[in-house]
Amino acid sequence: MPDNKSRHKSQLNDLSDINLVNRVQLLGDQAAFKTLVLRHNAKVRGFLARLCQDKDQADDLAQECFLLAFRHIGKYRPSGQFSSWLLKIAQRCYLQEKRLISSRAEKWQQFHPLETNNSGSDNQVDISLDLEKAFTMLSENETICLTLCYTMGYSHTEVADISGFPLGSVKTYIRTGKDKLRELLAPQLKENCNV
Amino acid sequence: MSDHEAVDARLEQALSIEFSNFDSDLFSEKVASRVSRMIYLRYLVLSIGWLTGLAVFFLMLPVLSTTLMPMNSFLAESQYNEFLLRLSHWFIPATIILLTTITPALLSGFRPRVS
Repeated sequence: MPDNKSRHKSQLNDLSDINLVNRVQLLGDQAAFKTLVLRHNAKVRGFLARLCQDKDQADDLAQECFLLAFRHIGKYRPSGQFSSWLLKIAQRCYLQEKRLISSRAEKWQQFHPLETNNSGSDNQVDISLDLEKAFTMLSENETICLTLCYTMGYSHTEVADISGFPLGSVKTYIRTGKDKLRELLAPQLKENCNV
Repeated sequence: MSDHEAVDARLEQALSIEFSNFDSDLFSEKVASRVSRMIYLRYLVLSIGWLTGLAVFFLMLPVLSTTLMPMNSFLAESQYNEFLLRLSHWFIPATIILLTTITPALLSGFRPRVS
């Protein structure tokens, strides 16, 4: 019996994303969906972790994202990559969560008007920031575009499709984001080049 | 290669490092268990919906038959009495049963969370 199970698992591992999605759509195959989760979770969790700057929150959101993907998998059309569809859902989950948190924070501030957030970007930037810390200095849109474009290797058009931003804006966000990162990480990068 | 280009290349290289250090097995187990729980709950709600619908239908049968009694005498005089009698006896209860059974299933199962 365990042999059958492991054989089935390895068979699923050999299938492409489209075939696995078809199995989930037509048969409701949970094992196929689990294989898809195994295959794409790092991308989704990494993307969300960079946006949230909190790994635990990113993992919770990633779970929600995969549940939504399972619920709406019937709507997936294989015109683009499955991972880009997942990232689209992940971005929406993040924005929804952010909206929820900010509305809660607004309510909370009504009772605590003296509490202020000092973690703003107007502080003196520590020159020794690493890449992940440097991303906190970028705008949300710049982080999304840079992560999708460089870390995940999507083209500008695909980034525009996933993020929902116009193509021109995507290019601008990438350029300004890269400029900011270059400025923030200049000493480290120069040091690395010299080594 | 100029200094600026070298810095740029190094930045792009740093950016292109893929995400790692994620426990994929544990995460996929968690998602799988949540998916199976979601499916179980969906079936539970659907079956409760169907059972409620059936119960309401059978409870309403006596009420329907007394309500439809005066209609029978009126329909008997009509030219298409047989057809209309069948319609009143089958169409109305069928509509009620469909509404009572499908509505809870529709309300429970397919509400998207992301708009």
